[in-house]
Amino acid sequence: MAEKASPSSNSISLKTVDGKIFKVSPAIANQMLTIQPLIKDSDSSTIISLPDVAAFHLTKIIEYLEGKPAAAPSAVDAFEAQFVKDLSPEELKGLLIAVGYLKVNGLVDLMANTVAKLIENKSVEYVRKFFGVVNDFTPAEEAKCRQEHAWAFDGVDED
Amino acid sequence: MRGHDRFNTSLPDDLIIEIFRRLDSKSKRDACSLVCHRWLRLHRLTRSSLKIGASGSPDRFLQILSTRFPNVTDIYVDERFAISPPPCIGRKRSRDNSKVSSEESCGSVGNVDSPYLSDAGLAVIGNGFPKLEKLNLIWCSNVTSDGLASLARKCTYLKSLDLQGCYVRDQGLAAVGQCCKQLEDLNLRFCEGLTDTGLIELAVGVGKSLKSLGVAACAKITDSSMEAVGSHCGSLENLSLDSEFIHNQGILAVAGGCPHLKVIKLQCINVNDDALKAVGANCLSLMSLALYGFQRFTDK
Repeated sequence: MAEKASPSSNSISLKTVDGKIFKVSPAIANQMLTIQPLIKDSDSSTIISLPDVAAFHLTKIIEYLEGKPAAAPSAVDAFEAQFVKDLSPEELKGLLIAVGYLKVNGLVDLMANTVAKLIENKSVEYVRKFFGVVNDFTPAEEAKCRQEHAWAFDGVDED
Repeated sequence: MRGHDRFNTSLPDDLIIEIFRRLDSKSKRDACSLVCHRWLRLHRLTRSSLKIGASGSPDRFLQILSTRFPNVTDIYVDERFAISPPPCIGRKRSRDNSKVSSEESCGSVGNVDSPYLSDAGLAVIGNGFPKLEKLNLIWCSNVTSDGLASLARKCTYLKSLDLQGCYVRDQGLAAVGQCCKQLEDLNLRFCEGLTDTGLIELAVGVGKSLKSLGVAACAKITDSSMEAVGSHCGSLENLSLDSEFIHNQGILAVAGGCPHLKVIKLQCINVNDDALKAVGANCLSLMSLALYGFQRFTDK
């Protein structure tokens, strides 16, 4: 984008899975690494479809990308904390996937950190429930796994 | 049931791995590995360190572990608290043992049922953990130079090596010097099989990268080694020596050749004030100097 110096009015249209169209500046769109290659070849008439991203998630992503640089350096942490605090667990999970798909600068970090904090020190059952994971271990396999973690490694089993 | 799993299936592997990376302790991640098969598989890919105690048959364990955790970078084997003496060399070292014959009988590669880590285990490490950066072999008295050399040829990313209490010989250490060009950290404590020949070759080989060196209770490592360290290891920052066979001459050589030394620990009864003067004059980055058990220092 540096070599062409495209005018800032040249906004990029992004279409979410639920059919909403968002117009964003190239500076914002370029921070979504997945669509970066598409931006170079697009003009004002192209619309980039985002199959894994809902309007709500894109709204949040734009809010983050616009809000973070606007915050004073000392206020970035507070901004990020507030950003995740406003999300319900369901929204958090959806946003995690959208952010992972778009590879949004900085936000992948923030989301992964937030989810990690939510599941650390939680039981296996909680983690399964949180992620909606179906337990595909047989009871025997699970018992074996639990035993293995106590075995060769540190000899510590906190369960 | 399937529909229930939707979130998990739409979450790509790399995101789950990102989350695992942020779970800072092993026990937190272990809980995640029990979630389902896929998470277990991903968890195995993210495991970076292994710690093995006196485990019964470490060679076999390593074999299993290498297929499970291909991305391990740190391995720590500690056989100090082993249950029974190894078949050939006793736990207690005696210097006049005929080491050659005992090495031959112990180094039978292919025997994976030895109760102690052997060269076969080192071969497993070499083949199974190509990304290894840190290896601690604590009192693994059955490993020999041959095993160490074969490992060094495979694990060329090795940065840190601790051979405390291992009876390896010069040829093994020389191989590390030739192959592991990124080595920064080396601890030789109770490595009684080593002589100046090995350490000099190592210093020549990895002198540029070596930052930290520990030598203790190695009776055959003398001032000649220190002179080699002084002439080749210009980036050395950390030096720990415990030896009655190192004299002023050795310390003077190191002080003259290693201007970046930050931490020096000396327990050398044959070193006196002159060596300290040289350290003071040359090592301007010095932050910590610890002296133990000196009889020859005065208050000067």
